[in-house]
Amino acid sequence: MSVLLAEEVGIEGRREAIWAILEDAGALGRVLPGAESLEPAGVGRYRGVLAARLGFMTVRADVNASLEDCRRPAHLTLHMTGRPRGLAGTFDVTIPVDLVAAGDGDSGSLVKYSVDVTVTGRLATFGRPLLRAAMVRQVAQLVANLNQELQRTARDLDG
Amino acid sequence: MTPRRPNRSQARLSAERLVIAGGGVVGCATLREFALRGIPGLLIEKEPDVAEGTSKANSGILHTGFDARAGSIEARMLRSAAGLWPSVLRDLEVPFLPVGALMLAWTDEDLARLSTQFAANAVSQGVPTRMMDRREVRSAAPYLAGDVAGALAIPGEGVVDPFWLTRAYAEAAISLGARVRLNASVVGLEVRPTSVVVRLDDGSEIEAVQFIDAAGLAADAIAALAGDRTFAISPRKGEFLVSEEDFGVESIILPVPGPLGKGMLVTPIVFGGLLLGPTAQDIDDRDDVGTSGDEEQRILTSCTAMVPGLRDVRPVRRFAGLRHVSSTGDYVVRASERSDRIYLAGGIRSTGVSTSPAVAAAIADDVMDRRGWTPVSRTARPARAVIPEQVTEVVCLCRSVTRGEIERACDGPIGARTLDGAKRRSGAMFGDCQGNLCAVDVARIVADRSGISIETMQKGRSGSWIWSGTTSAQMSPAPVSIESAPDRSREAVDAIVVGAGASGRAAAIAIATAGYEVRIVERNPERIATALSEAPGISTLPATAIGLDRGEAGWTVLTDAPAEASALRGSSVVIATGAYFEPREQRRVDGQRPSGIMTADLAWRSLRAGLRPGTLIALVGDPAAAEPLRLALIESGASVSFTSLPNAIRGVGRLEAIECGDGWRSVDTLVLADRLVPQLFLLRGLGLVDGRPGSLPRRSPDGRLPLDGLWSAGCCVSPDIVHRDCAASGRGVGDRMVARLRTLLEAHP
Repeated sequence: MSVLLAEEVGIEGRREAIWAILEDAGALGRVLPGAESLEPAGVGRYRGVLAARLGFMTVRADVNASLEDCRRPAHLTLHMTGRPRGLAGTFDVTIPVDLVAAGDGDSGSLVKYSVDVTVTGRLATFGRPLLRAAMVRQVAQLVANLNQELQRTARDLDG
Repeated sequence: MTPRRPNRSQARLSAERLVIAGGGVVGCATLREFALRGIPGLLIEKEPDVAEGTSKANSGILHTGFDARAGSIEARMLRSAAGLWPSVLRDLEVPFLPVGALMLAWTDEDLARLSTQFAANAVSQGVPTRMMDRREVRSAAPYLAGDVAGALAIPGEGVVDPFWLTRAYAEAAISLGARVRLNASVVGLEVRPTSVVVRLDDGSEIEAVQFIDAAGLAADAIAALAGDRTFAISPRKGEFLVSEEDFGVESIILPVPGPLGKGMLVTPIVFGGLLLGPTAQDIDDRDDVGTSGDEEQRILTSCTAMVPGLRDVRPVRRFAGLRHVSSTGDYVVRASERSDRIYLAGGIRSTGVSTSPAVAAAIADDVMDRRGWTPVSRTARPARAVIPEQVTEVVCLCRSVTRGEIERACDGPIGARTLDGAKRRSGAMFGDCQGNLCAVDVARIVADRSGISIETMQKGRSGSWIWSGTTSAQMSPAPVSIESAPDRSREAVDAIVVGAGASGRAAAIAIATAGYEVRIVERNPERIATALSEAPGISTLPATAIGLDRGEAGWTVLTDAPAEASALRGSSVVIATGAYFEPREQRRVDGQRPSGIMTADLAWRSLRAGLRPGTLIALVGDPAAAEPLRLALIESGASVSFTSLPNAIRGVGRLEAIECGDGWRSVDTLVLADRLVPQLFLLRGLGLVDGRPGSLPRRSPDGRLPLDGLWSAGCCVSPDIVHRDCAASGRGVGDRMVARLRTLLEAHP
């Protein structure tokens, strides 16, 4: 399966703050949609369980995630591989991300990303449209979680 | 012999507040609606499952009603449903795709009609639409024919899985105390002052405070039981083709409608692929859901005109559904003139799925008002999880559906009790082979899980028995003892061979003989045993390969085995996955889809399981090649004769007759053993073949596939190969792979 979607979105936080979240297992676990657990597994590497809603069912998966091709503050690639629990299949998700400073005084970030998904087995039988729709929802939730986490961090710093 | 009418005084009489006849989408939606208002009812359905009629055989489109006839009940229901769908989809957790629709214009006249008629009507219906010019529509949908002049975009249209929806309605209702009784028919209605006595075909009677007639095609007949003959239902057949390949289509594509309806559409399916159709034929026979080559050609002509890429389509399945056309020209959703204790929900035409929540709400509003029932708001429990906790072995190879998923399909308040029921709930048997490779295993799981005997299992509707009994000459082999090689799953090998048929075994032996590390992955324990007998000590993994992944260090074969064995690593992979016999569903054989039509794959699997496929069998195939099967079927007690592929078949539940050009002949079983189709599901994920059955990859004469280190052998890439040549094919590929490995080793010591 090739590129599932490619978009750009505004985030209410500096690029450095986004990087800080990505490099913190606890914070990353709070922003990744459906993350039931996430623990460090090396530098820039994580291991955990994600529950992803496909709209009509929830698929829980054991996931390995890594931050690759890191060029702070402008670029990184989030790579996730995993196997769903209860279904025969695997997934491999690659998300190259470009971060551009934006907003007044670079207080925000413009995030340009694409999502490349390869699925095997049962996941492949769900069809590209359903998977794409699920990915769009997941990304939207991720952006919302990210903004929330950035606001929380900012409040903590101010407090 | 005339059946003896039950003695009325002896008839079992029970009492219900609410009885609904008909387990289709409207009946089940209505059952849920009343349950949500605190009135749990009883639904009566004559078939062994819900949605066995029109509700399973439609496009699944959630229509916005942009083109509904203004002022009609249908239009009102569509408008009302539009506001209900977001909460319904959320509460029921059904698969839904908001794909939108494009109504195409080819001429200036079409464009004018789109603008002045359909867009204007949409405005009156409160449905957002947008006109698109040629440039815009070509940019948005490049798969459309180049001469498209423009389009009307209807972004609010979407698609659901209609069976999933119907079942979800029913399960939600049951979670609130409603009940569903299957395999029961309403045969009498007696109107009393404060009730309706509903008589069932088993002689029992139910005294209902309120009865709702949601019996679909039989709605008029049911109403007539009470003396209400104010409407008549006639069937309008719509045939569809199913394509696993989506040809890039992302929206519902439809022409400007004609007098009989929307015309032929190209519709994305929720779980991938496309639906082409439907046709529209007014017929008399309410059981006629047969398909025909003529109608298929009409579908292809119409759809290809809109999406030219469809000229290469190879349908994986054909089916037909019957719309319920009312003599009134509109929905019949009202109290019966005979008594308001009988409420009618008929003539729902082709928009039943779309209007189901609104029709249900309208009925509940009116009935509760008439009966003076006070609603008590209830919330249905969340839908049952359909995914099991643990991964179990793959049963359906085409779709990677596991045992656990099929077991789940049997659980729950209306679990699967038929093969079709398991299919629709789990997705098994929907793939290329149409269940011929896994039906016995699926049936065994359903039988074990539900406590019914496998030999009495039905395919779907009543009368669709699958096996005519058990055989005395059971061919089930003695349990195969496979001495496991030491678990070396973590170690990368030089070659992984997927498939231990003749070509796979030969390839593996050639590679191993040359001193290279090879591992065979095979799901069939008999084949593994054969491989071990030919090459003792050869490394094998009894598992199903579910995917291939190429990395910098070589290939990974993903399997359904647990833990480390789930990902085998190797420098090279040989795909020797064989072929399956082409099922009837992929061919143009006119007629319905009764049980009793199978390929040699299912016939052999049945025999090995001690099940007799039939008693009067027509066998299609080369007499020399199919002779072993013929003898085995005769051994099982059947009468067997060779025949050519039929032009048409007859039979509703079970096959009754075939027509091969020389008149009709009575048979109860048709076995197809003539054509093989490559089994290359693993290559789809790599993009080497598309979703059409029988697609072959590009392959060099020496057996190499376009990706480095990937090879293929045997009938999975040469379906016309004579079986005895499969071993030679595998041996040749093995030898050439060895030569290649030696070359690489010399270049990179």
